Amino acid sequence: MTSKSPHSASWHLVAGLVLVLAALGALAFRWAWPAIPRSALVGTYHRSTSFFLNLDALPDGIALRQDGTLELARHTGGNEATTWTWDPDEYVLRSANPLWDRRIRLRQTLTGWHLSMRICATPFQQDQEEQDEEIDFLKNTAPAR
Amino acid sequence: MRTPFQEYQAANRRIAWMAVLTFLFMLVLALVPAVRQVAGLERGSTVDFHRDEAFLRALLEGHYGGDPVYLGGGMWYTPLVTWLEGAVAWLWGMPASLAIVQLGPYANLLAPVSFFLMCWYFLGPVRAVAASAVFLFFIIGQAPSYVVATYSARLIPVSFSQWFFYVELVLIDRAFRSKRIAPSMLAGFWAGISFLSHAGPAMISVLIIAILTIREVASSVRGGDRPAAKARVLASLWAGAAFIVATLPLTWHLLTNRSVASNDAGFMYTYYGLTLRHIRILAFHTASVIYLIATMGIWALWRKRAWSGASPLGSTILFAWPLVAMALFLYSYAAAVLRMHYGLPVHPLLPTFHFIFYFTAALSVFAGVAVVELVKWAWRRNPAGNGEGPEHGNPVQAFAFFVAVALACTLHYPAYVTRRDATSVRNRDLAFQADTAGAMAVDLVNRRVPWAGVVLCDKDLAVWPMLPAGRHVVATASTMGNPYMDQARRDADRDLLMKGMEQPMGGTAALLQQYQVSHLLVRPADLARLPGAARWFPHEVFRNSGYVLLSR
Repeated sequence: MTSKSPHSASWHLVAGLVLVLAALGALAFRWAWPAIPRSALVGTYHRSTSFFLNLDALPDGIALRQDGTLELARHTGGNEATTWTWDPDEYVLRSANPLWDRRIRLRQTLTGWHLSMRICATPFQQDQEEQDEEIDFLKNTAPAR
Repeated sequence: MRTPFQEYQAANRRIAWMAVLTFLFMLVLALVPAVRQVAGLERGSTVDFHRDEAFLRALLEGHYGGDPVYLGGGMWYTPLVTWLEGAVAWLWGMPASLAIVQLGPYANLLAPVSFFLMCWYFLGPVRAVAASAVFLFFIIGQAPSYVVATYSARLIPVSFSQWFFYVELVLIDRAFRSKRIAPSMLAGFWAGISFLSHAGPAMISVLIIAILTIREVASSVRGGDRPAAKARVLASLWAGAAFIVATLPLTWHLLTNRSVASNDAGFMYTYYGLTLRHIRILAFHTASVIYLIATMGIWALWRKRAWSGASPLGSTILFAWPLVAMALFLYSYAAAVLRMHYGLPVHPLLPTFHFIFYFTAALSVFAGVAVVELVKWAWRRNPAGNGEGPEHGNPVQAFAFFVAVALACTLHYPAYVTRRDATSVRNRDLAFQADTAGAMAVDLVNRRVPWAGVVLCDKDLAVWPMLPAGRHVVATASTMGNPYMDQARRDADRDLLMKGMEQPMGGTAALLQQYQVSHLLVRPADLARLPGAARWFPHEVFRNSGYVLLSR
């Protein structure tokens, strides 16, 4: 009787890898495009911090109201409000205000999804994509009004 | 019964198959969101696409070699991507803009495929899988894909042309491992072909060939082997000749037009995240684990710990590549700063991000090397392990490694598909597509203005909708203007002409004649403040909600 050397591993490993990759692929696609209803977004959010990005011009918190109002709160005052709708296919917030239309989107990470806000305030449709840096807004645990 | 060596070879074949399967898995994971990114798009928003559409329309209309932006100018942009788009548009009967935006996910697959093959050639299949995973999913982070080398859904020359470079590295290695002239000529010819796609990879390739030539000649001379030194010089000269021949579809037009660069605004463009003034943006994008791992890979390769020994020149080439890219970046950045802020007559070679792009591609290789080294290190510390690691003919260990890589890609996948370069770019394209008046104007201008016509319009309109229409203007944005024509003069004359539309001014007729202006494009709301427009351009060609085209 001869012992089987690791070098003589059969094609079973290759077939096994195909199965594993197929399973992981199915899992990846399932995770990548989850259905996120509008109701899941309703709530209040606070801005995360960044050592590198200048966030002075951004609101400190946002609130997505059930009635379609987007409120932007600043600790310096100057709060503003506009409208919001949810595009579930593109994972982006639409707004009647061109300055806020498509500026807030959903971004997924290992810990779940966050809202991300583009820092540069130029209207999104302008071709200034080099300034597309974003900052995450994290959902508060307290329920929205 | 097989000998141990035959068993070892059989095991390596299994590892090779598993490496290919894992790479294909990653390729499919990358392709699907790329196809979704361009789904339903008829045109992309980026100005690079507008420029490419202009040249594509010129090609499809039979004006190859001419400048679609400035009347009388010659071809100035590298044409290979236009050829590819032209072939697809012609074969499938697609509109130019549609071909440009929809071809990207498929044509750009050449980048990861060639990257994987190049890594396999230099480092073996296991490291190639790890490096390709980094290249495809991990190096990009939240940076734009024209700054960081990765697979992109957009068929912009910087993204597409990288595959020529990865193939070129293999050809360079083959050339310098041979005494024959043919491999060197092939390397030179391929560098020339890559120049037709983009000048950036060609510059890096040529400099690597030059460095290797100097190194080999110096070594031969020191060793007293003058015939070998002569042979190398001769082979590299042949490579240079092949390079020149391959570039003739572009350089012939530049030479016959006696082109001398006078507008280097396009060369001086500097992505703001690569400037000292915005160094925090650079830090934001690079302060990540993957860059740290890449640094460990550099150290591992430098210490020869991770060297597979597949090619004696491999380490030289893999280190020369990022060093040359960084040197070209530093030169171009310094030249742009000295030129813009101190007026010194120094010419940048290209926008600096083109060189950082290739530097980051090398970082993906180094990170892949480091990942394998870290696994080997962990393996060695495992008392149950045999201390070999996944790359030494052990299919079981390789299987475990490939599954781990695939699992990492899967876990990271949701973040990957919602990265800025995919989601934000698509949303901007969708927002841009909502400008139906502009898209209509592009087609109407193209149909109603003859090729020999020239349209007067302000700078914004010269970019959109004029640039993708493929019709001449008096002056466009400096970064989109022919670098061999006097941009500053054109800007000043365009401003004078627009002033001449606001109020009577002497010299307007002469300037209109000089630039052979045939049409005026303005916004409807602007007509009221341009009383001269009706005098100089009395005929309305078309009008929609966003634009009015008048003719003389």
